[in-house]
Amino acid sequence: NVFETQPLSTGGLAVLDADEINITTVNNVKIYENSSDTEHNDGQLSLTTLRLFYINSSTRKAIFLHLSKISAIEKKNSLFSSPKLNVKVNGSQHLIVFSFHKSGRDPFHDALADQLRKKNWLHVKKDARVSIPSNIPDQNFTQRAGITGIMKRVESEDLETKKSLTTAFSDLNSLMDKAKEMVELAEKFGEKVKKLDANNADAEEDSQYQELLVNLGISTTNIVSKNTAGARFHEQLARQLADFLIKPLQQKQGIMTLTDAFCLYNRARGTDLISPEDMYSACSMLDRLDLPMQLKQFDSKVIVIQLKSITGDAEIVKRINDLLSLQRTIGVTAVDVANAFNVSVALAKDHLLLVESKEVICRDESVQGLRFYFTIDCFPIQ
Amino acid sequence: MRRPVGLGGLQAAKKRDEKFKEKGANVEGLRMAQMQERLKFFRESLEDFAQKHKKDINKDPEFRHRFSQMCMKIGVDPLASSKGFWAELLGVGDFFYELAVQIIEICIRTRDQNGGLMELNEVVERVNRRRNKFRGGQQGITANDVKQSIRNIKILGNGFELLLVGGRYYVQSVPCELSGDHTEILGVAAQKNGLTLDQYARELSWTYQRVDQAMNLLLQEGFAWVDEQTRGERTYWFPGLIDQQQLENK
Repeated sequence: NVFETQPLSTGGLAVLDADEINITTVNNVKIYENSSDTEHNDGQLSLTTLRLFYINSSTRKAIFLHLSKISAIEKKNSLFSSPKLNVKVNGSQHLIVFSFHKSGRDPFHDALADQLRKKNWLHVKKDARVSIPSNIPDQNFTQRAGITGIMKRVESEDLETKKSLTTAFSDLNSLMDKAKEMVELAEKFGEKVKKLDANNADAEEDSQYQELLVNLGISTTNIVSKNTAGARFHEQLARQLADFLIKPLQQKQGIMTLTDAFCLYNRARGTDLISPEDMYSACSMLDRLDLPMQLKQFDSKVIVIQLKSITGDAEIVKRINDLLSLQRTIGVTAVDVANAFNVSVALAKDHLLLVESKEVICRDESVQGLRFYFTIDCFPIQ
Repeated sequence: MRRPVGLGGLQAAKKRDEKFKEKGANVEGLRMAQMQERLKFFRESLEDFAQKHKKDINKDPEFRHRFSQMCMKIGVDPLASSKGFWAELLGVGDFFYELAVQIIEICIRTRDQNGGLMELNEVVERVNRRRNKFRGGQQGITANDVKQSIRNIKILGNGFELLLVGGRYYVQSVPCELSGDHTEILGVAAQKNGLTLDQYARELSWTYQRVDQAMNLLLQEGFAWVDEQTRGERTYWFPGLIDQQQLENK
C-alpha cells in the first residue's frame, strides 16, 4: 500500500512536523488507485511542504504520502467527469488519481508542482520531528510574531504625514452614505429572496447572498440558509480550538469563560485574529463535532467552555452521588459541594440543580438554607 | 480589473455613483449578478477610503469613535466577521480584536490580586502603558474604546462586564460561577460571624467593592443575612454556619 496512516489530533486535524507548513487544502476529493475505486470517496486533500494529506470525511481517518515518493504528476480532463490529477508514485509502479468534485484542481496542481520543484524534504533535519504540531499556535512562539507585526506597523506609521481632520470626516460621511444605500439594497433584496417559493430557492444564490451580508457586516444570525459552506471555516477553527484549549482547560479544572478562551487563542495566534462571532460560532460546533469539550450557558447568560471529562453532565452526577453517599442523613449544601469539588459556590449550586433536574436528588428548603437528599430517601417506595 | 485613474476615471466613477443612486430604489428586477456589481463598486469605495484613512482609524480616537457610531446607525457591524470587507480592507478587525485581547489579558493577569474587578480608568491606563511600550509614546486608547471593545465581545457571554458601582465604572472579568471569593468570605465567617463589610475587607485585604460584590451573591442565594440594628451598622450573618458550629460544639 502506497499511503501511510497517521492518527489525527484531538481536534481531528492532521498533525504536522515542526518544520512542515500547510500550503493549501481542497475539499470533496475522491481517490482512485491503479484505476479502481478505493474506500476514499470523499475527503479533504491537503498539501504541505513535505507531504500530501488526505482526511476521509466519513471515517475521519488520515492517510499521507511523502512528496519525495512522487515521480510525476499530470492533469487529466474528461468531458463528463470531474477534473483529475494523476500522481505517479515510486517510479510508475503505482498510479494514484485524485478526482476533484468541486473546483480547485488547477491551483492545487500548480502548488504541488511548485513543492515538488522546491524539494523541501532535502533541507529538513532528520531529527526535526517534535511532538508540538506546527499548525497549532504555540503560546510562547507566536506572541513574538505578534510583537514583530506591531513593530512593523510602528515603522510605517512614522512615515505618515499629518492629514486634515475635516477631509477625513467628509470622506467618512460619503463612505457611510454609500454603505447605507448598500445596506438598504441588501435588505430589500433579502425580502425579495424570502418571498420566493422555497422550491425555487437557488442554493448558489443563497450562499452568494450570505457572503454579501458578511462582507457588508450585516448580521446573518436571523437568516436561515440551506447552504452551510461558510461553516467549513468554523469547523476547521473548532478543531484547532479543541487542540489548543486542552492544556489550558486542564490547568483550570476543566472550565473557563469563553471570553478567556478567546483571549488565549487570539494571543497565541498573534496576527490574523478571529472575531468574537467567529469564536462563538466555532465553539457552538464543538459538541456536534464530538470533540472533548463543549460550550455551556448558565442562567446568568455566562458562557463557559468545559472539558466533558471533568465537568460534563455524567461526571457531575457521579461525583454528587459519591459525595451525598457519605452524608446521606444530613444531606449536602452548595457549600459542601464547593469545598469538596474546589469550585465556586455558584457553580456548586448549578451542579446540584443539574442533578436535581435528573430527579436523583431532591431539595429541602428551610431557614438554615437549601439542602439536598437522595430522592429515594425522601420518598421511599411503599 | 484595474480601476481607471486620472480625470477620465473620476468622471466614470461619478457616473457610476449617480447610476447607483437612481437604481437604488428599484429592486424587483434585480438579479444576484447585479447585486454583486453593486457590491464591487462599494468595495472600491471602501478601498479608496482605506488607502487614505486606515491609519487615522488606528491613530485618532475621535475618528475611530465617529466611525463606530456611524456604522451602528446604519446597521452595520464592521467587526462581525474577520472575513468581511471592513476587517479585510480597513483592518478595523485587527485593531479592535487586538484591543479586546489586550484588555482581557490585563484582567487575567491581575485577577489573583483583585478578584477580577478593576476600575475602568485603571484598565485604560494599563492598556496604554502596554501599547506605548511598542508604539513609542503614541496617544492611544480612551475609555470609549475600552467600552466599545467590551460591547464587541458581548456575544461571548456575560462573563465580562462593565459595572457601575457607586458612580464609578468597573470591569468585571470573573463571573460568580468561577469566583472563589464567596468561599473565602464563608471561610472568614466560619471563624467570625457578624462582621461588617469593612471588617471583611480588612480581613481579606480586598477593596470594599470586591467584598460588596461577593456578598451580594451570598445574600441573593440566602447564605447570608444582613442585620441593620447593631449601632446602625450593617453586619452579615450566615445561619448555615451557625448550625454547623453548634453541631461541632455538641
